[in-house]
Amino acid sequence: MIRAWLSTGGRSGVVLGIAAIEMALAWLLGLAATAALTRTLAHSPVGYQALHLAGGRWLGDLLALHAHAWEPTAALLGVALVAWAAAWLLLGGMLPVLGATAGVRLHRAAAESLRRAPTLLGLAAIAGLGFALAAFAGYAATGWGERAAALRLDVRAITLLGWVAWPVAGALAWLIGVWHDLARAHAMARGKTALQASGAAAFQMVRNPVATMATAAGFGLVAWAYVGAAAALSGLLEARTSVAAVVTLAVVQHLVVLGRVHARMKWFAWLGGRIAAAKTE
Amino acid sequence: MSSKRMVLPRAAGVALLLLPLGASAQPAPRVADYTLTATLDPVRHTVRADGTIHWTNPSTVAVRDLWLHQYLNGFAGPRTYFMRTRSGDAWPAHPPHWGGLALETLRADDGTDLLPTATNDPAVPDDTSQLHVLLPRAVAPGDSITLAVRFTATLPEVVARTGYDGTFHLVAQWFPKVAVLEADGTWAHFPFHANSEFYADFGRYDVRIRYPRGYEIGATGPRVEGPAVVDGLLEERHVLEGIHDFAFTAWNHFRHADRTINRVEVHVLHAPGDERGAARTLDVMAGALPAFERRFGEYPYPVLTVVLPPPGAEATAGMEYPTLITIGAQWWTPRRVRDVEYVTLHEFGHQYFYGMLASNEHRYPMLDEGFCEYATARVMEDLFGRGGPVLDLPMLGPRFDTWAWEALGSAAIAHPLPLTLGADEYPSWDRYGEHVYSRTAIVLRTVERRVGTRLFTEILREYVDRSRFRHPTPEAFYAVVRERLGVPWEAFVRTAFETPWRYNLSVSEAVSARDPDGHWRGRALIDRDGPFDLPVNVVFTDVRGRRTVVRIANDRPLTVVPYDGPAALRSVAVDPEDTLPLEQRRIDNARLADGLAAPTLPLVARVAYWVALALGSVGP
Repeated sequence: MIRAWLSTGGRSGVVLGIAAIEMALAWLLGLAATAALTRTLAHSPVGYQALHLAGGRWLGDLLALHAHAWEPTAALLGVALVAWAAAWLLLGGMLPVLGATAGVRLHRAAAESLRRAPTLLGLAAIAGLGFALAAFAGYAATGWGERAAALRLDVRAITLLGWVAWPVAGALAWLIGVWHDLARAHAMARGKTALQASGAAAFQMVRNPVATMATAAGFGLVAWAYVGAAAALSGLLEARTSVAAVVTLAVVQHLVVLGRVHARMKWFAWLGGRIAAAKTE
Repeated sequence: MSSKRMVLPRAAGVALLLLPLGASAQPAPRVADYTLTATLDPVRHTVRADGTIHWTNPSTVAVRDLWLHQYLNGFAGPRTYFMRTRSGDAWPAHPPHWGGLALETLRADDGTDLLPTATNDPAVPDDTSQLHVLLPRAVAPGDSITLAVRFTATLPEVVARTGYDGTFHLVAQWFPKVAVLEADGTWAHFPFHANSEFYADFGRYDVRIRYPRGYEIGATGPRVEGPAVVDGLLEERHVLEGIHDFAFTAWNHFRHADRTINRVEVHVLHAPGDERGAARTLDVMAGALPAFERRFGEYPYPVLTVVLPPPGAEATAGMEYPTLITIGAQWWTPRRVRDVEYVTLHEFGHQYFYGMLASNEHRYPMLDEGFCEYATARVMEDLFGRGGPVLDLPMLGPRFDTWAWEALGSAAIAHPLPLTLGADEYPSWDRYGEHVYSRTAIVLRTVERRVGTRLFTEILREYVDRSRFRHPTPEAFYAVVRERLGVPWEAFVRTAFETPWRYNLSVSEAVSARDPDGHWRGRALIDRDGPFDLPVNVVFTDVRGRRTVVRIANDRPLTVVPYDGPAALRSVAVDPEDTLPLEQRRIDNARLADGLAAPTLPLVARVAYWVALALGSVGP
């Protein structure tokens, strides 16, 4: 069963490649972001463990000592994130291409994605509009919830109603995300335009709602379960400074990133399979 | 849960309830007694009141005038002194509904109408928060005068600890209050400044509060009568001696939780749905009352009311009045995020450092806020363990201790000022806060760390005992320090309180080399930036883990400490015991010997992981 789960139908190299690129970039940014801190910590007899000692005093000292560096560091990370997001607007067809056809090389998938950039940008624009609407709906629902709750003057009800609105908006955003994945898969697997792919994705969601949503939810949950497990482990090991604890946590955190890319690949492979089957029918 | 609080014992018990319990040791003087009947109109948000102020001259000189503080007039419009002196976003610039205090009658006991000749302070234009009253006769030392008053207090929409939100009312600074006449016959009067709190004399407050049915109130002092129906309204009477202010709250949705702790009736008034916050508050008070009494002496009052303002009225949270405090917290925060605990301890601490001691909060805000901040952190540590952790969620990384928080607050001061400045002398709310709260607390913590917790607790206890009901100045604290610790410690405290300073120790060099005789010799350079000559330990650790402790006088800007040992030097630390928490930084108090470096890769790995998660959220 584990073997079946791990199998990506000949796409392991691609999964490893994408995860490696993501981690390499993260390490580069991590090094850049912490360069000033590590220079200070390297002089300390306790090294990075200073972050966990003295009840936050040393951490506070570090933050104050390098206060001038936070703005450029945040700007660097922000620019990197925006650049990464922009790159994936153009490369957003890679996973659907790889999912639709086993054995495609990474660079071929990238080239195909770039060739279909206008379609991908069109789909991203529609999805972006949907995300904005979901966020607005969440905001509006929060206000409504608080107004309704205020009539009862129950502070717990006020807070809970405010909280309920956001999961609802989150669910809406998730639906849009699933639709976006489906639309990209249709566009890349069957050469459809943005509008045609949008319609095909919506049609598939309506025709096979249970299978599509359940599979999307399953893969999504797996990816989040990895993050949750790592957070729990981090809770246990965060303050421990032994080499074994540090290495274990680092390894697990790298596996989380790999596991997330792996789950996404499996999802797109499943979508590719469904679209191919529908085409055969 | 019932909507009305348990009726307090009456008759025989009443007389005892009126006196502060600590009064037998050192009774509170009765300088200003207030007997008022106040009627709350929650629709118009007004309090109409009449009654008397019986004032006794506590000074050594006769006076023919008197100053009244009318601080509700701080919210009378955008040009008041309070509104002009507010800085940043400390308080809203324009509450939607202004308030004010309209004094309609002010008569002396011989019938003289005092209002026609009464004036506001001409030195403070556009401000009516002070009233200078000429008396019809001289009041000799020890003599008294009774003033009849009638007034209407209009509450503003909540701003700066006072006001209303919907049907919730926090009624504070609502009556004309006599300023303090110091022993030399000078009036300690001052306009309501946005940085400043209050100063008033002790007395007996006998207040009848009338309010509509359906409302519940909480007020200063024990309820000795009522609630009973009078003229279609509910009326209850609260009486207490040994206090210097009176506040009350009213709301038609209050729920309450009560518990008797160390003989004190603790009432928590809260919004529906905030039962968890109320339970947490009672739990922390169950620890706080014994802890404060152990360290700072008996809490002398029979009651304490804790108000958790509802959403919308947050600006009234985090404030202290005699036997009534307001706190603010979210009901859903985990217990290991100790915001409820911290704020409750702080506001309760003010029952000592404000309530009983009644120092001049305008002239010496550090004596109430700073000493209270120290007491808060001290009791946080008593209740929650080493450091007094205020944020203790391992999942989220490092723990934050209250002491560390105070030290960092003090260290963040970029342009130091003396701690003994008046509240109105700090140029902004932020600069007021970082000095008065954090730096004062960390100076006291430093003395504690140097002389030991036990001895310092005795010193503070003696200061509190001597100053109970006595309006202490910093000199009162200096005197106890001088008597218990000697002149050098008094000089330290004076310097730390009265001069601007920055202070830091650091190891700027640590080297060793092998000599021909096989010994390793080298040195450490200890840099001192700041005024305090306090000896500290320097600890050398060699590569085999052997520690050598050297005591240095630390009386010059640079101390060279020689090293001579059987192995190469690994690291040097100055004051590793953290006996000087007032330092600017602690991270530079230790360093590896030159040429050595500690591993830092795990930090990069952690950051890389979080970056990878962020990348994944916008990636494939």
